[in-house]
Amino acid sequence: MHVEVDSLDKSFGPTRVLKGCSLGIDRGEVVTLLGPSGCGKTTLLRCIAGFYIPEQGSVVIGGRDMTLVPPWRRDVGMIFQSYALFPHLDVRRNVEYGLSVRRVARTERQRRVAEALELVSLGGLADRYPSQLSGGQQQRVAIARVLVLEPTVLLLDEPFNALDAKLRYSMQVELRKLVKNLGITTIFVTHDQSEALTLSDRVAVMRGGEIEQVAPPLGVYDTPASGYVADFIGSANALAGEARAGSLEIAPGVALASRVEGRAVAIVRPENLLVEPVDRESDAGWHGRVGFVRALGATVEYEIEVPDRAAVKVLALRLASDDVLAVGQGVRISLRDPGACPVLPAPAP
Amino acid sequence: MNASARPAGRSTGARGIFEHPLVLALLSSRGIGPALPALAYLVVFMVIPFGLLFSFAFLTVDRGEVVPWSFSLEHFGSALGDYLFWRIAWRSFWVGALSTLVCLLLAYPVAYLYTTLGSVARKLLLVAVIAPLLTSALVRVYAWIVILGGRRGLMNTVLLELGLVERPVRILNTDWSVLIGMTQIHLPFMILPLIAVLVAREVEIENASLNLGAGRVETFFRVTLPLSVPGIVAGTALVFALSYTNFIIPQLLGGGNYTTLAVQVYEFVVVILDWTKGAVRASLLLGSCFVFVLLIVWAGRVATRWTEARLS
Repeated sequence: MHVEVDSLDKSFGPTRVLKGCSLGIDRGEVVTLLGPSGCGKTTLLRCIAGFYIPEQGSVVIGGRDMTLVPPWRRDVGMIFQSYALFPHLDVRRNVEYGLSVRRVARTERQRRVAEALELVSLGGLADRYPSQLSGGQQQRVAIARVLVLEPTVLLLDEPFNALDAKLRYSMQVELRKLVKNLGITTIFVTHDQSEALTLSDRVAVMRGGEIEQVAPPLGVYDTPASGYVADFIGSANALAGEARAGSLEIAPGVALASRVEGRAVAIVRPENLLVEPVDRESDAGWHGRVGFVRALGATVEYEIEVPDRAAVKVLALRLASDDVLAVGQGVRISLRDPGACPVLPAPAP
Repeated sequence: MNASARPAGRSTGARGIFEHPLVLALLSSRGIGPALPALAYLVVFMVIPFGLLFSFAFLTVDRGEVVPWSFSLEHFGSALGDYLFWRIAWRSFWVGALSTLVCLLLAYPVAYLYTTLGSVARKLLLVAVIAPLLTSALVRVYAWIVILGGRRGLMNTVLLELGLVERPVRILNTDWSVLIGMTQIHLPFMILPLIAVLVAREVEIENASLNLGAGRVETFFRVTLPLSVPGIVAGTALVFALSYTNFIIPQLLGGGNYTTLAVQVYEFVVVILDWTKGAVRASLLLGSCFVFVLLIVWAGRVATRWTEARLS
């Protein structure tokens, strides 16, 4: 483990923001802290950077206990949400700052600054001031300013928030390639699940100051530890029911294998459901009626009204020749793969 | 009330006034229109009196009457050639400059402290800073006389009781009392601009500096201080201009014989009734004050560039 966070507790006044957070990150791994605002993800990142000192628990980086070490002695690079460039210094001096603080010799400083600016393709803008740069360029400066110090750990706090959608996507891909090439252990904070899935080797989903699940992107998607995780990552139908004798019946004639007994909830992804139009409701199978259609181009999202529970979301791949079902159409719903539907204990009401 | 009962002629008359070109210019959001009232006020009550003041410096006055066609530079010449004038000017300058420097050194920590406080404590501190401005400077000067003066005054009693001095010291009517008075009376004018820049600063920029390996002290000198230069320049220019040209404080806390340029202007104009000499000194005082303020602004720019240059 390169970075090891062990049962961190952090409160601000009466509010407990972190409640025993533990997380281990391997050398060179890219991990995302994912959760809604207020879940404590930024606080956890700032504990690792050293801006907050936790009341309980420890932060170990590279085998050294860093819990009480001040931020300037941690050698952990951080990219701030606002980039926090020095407005009174030009791009070159911004990038040079850390080297100059470390009293690195002048010639070496110049070489490393040039390299870092080249790495983020900003070579031509060294004489500009931050206020003369676009948001994307400012972010590159922030990245170069940190990478020039060759940190072993990189922390990023919602770094793509200020960028427009297209630029955000290309920067995500670029950044992932960059940190993977350099082999830097990277911890990201985001509330955007698609960002988390794009960037990470593993995703840590946080909720109310606790880490709910840590798993590879497809792991949290396919086998969510809770309905909360399933709902946060992608879209999901949470179908509650009473599990008996290893089986949960989610609809007439549709049963899933269950390791849980009693109140349980099945997580069924919309793309795991299949709908076919039926003219007349026959008795066999799971029936419903199309309540809403959202044609997205490559895919079509249906909301199917079913008896006795909330509408079920279904995602269908659409080929040009396919007809889109009309609202009001009666359908039969079936599962593509009943094995891909985790059954979890129902949360306490 | 019935709307139709309003006399029609009056309402068009009122609109007529609002369509007058002068009124439209005043209300327009472009150009100098909205600033016209203040501008007119300044012309009437500042520019014209200053013009008269300066013109007196070039004219000879004989028995209360201006001698016609007596325009000459000899009054300036005689003042600038006078050794005593330079001694007094030098005292005005160093007292003003030193009290400004002390104000800056005292005010910066207070302004910085302000930014670290919660909202209630901030309000209390702000009230404490502004409260002295609500009383007349004259009253506060008299209060200093009570505190500093006399062998059995408050200051001497405290110093003697604490055993810091063996016999009563003379503070009132020295450079010290003038400096103490000026610093206390002008301190709010330094604190307020500093609070304005320090409150607006982005703390995350300082965090970035810490993250890049700079300790708290280094971060202060490389980031916080350079970024607060605009506030330092504003406060310094304000306090220097106020201290350099103040005449109540040197007059009352310096004793009758403590002469600065401003005190001299007062004496020539009000006591000796030599308006020409008074006008010469007033012109030189205001002119040099303007130059010093420009120098302070320039020094702020140079200081910012210098901290930048240190990084390369």
